[in-house]
Amino acid sequence: MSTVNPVNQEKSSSYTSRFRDNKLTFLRVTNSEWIKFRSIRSNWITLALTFLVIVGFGILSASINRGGGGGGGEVRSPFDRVLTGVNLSVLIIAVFGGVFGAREYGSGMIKSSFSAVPRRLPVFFNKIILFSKAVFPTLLIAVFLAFTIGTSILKHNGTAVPKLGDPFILRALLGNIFYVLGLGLIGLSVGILVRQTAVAIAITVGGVLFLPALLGAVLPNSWHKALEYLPSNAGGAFTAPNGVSINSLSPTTGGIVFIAWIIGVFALTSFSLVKRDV
Amino acid sequence: MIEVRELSKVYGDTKAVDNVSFTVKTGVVTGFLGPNGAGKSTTMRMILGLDKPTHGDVLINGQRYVDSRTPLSLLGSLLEAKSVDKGRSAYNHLRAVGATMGIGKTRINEVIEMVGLESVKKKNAAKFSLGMSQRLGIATALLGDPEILVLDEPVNGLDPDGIMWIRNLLKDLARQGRTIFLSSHLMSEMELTAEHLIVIGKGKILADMSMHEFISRSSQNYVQVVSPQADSFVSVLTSNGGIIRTRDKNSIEVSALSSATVGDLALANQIALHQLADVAPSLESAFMELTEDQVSFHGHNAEESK
Repeated sequence: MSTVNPVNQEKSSSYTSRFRDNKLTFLRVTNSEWIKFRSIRSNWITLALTFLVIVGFGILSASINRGGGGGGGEVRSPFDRVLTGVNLSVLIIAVFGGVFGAREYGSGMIKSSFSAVPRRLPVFFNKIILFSKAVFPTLLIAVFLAFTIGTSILKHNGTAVPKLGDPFILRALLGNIFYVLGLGLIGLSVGILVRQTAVAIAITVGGVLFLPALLGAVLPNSWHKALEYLPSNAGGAFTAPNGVSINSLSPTTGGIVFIAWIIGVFALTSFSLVKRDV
Repeated sequence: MIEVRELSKVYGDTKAVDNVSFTVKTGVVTGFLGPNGAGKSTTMRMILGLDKPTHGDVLINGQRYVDSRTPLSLLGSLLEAKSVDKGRSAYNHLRAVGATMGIGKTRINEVIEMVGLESVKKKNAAKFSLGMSQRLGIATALLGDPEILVLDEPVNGLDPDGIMWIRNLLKDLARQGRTIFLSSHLMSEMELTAEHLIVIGKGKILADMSMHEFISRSSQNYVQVVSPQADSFVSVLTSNGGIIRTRDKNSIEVSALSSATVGDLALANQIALHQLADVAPSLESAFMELTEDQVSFHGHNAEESK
């Protein structure tokens, strides 16, 4: 490709780094991202908060007997009651994702990161892996604890409760975990795409979580079919513990649509990341 | 060696860097000078692949930086001291960057000691002064024991001790056969550190030559003469093509004549000389002369340039 420049011959006198044999590898970037993650205290606080919210609200909601309907509102199923905290954890994790993705742009750290890993994509992919590795176990343990403790409290108070072995229950529990993690990953990807924490949060929380409900209220009924394919509505198809959901998307279709959204956002971010100036 | 080849960067209608080609040679400190907005930082970011060139490319020891399998040991860089997460300690910052190439604790502690941050290495970068941040940036640049260093304003925020330290450090590193490319707006500092100069203005290369040649080419060179017969000597000098820059009693500053010619003229005309000296301009005045019409952001009393 490039012509061999005779000036290169003077290389004999040039310095050779003692780390010349240390190669940049994907696994080393994984390690680098792990060091970055664990050395920021707020990451751990956010994970702990997520855990406490899911387990805490699960116990609280199961313990407080609203059977009389004092506060008004529809009677919620035992499943929804023990997973009350998940609704709040969706917000926490979506915001966490946005902050996690945009953080290095806010601090300028991204220049150090992309100078060390000039191809950029290994940094993005490792952030996805690391975020999942940190958030998934937290959600998994919290959701199953909330379900187990919550249902035993309800049962003790004489309410008929679902069991893990009942149809669709396990799938709905895993569906909830997957949904929250997925929104966090969308937040992360959008954070890197837009490079600003506030914008990332606005898009993820506003655009993904609240916009579908707003559109549903505003748009004519003929549009509602299309709205079912938005991420949050698609998520609703596989987070509910019943075979036929209120959405017309089946749980499987909902899951596929949701994954397609995540992959789409990842692809957009990857493309932008490789093409643009840092 | 850094080879910049026909490099351009266009933002909308603005050509920040306009078809620039130059080579940064191994074994010397090369200074990169230019007024604000001349395209220095943009060029440096394109060398690192952080900004994508609109046209042209940059080869680092024969390859594009983005293709390097050993980026940190090929090229260490300092673009802004603020390229650090404030929530992380200096030590963990270096650990995270070094980990991408498996550079371990021994080297981390070594560079921390080199830049003098031992006592604060576990402190959050948020609590760092500008000088300390700058030292951390230099430590990051040195981490991979790089063959090439690209430093944008490395002495920013450093105290006089720190400035002298980095001057000597850079000269030592160049002597070991490394390529050093640095920008600075401190002319006197650049004059002491760099051997070679590349001057950029409005996105184009204005000069690419040794420091010595750059300064001696300036019309600001003059000969300082002190003579008790200054009146008659002034007429001798002007009739031989000399230009009198200033005259203060017995002291004359003359340009357009060499000191040898001035001395010969004095002897031939029987004029006593008490002092005869070549005065080279500072890098600053040579630079100002070259870039007079090249400044993008004028002070408001300056003439509007088209």
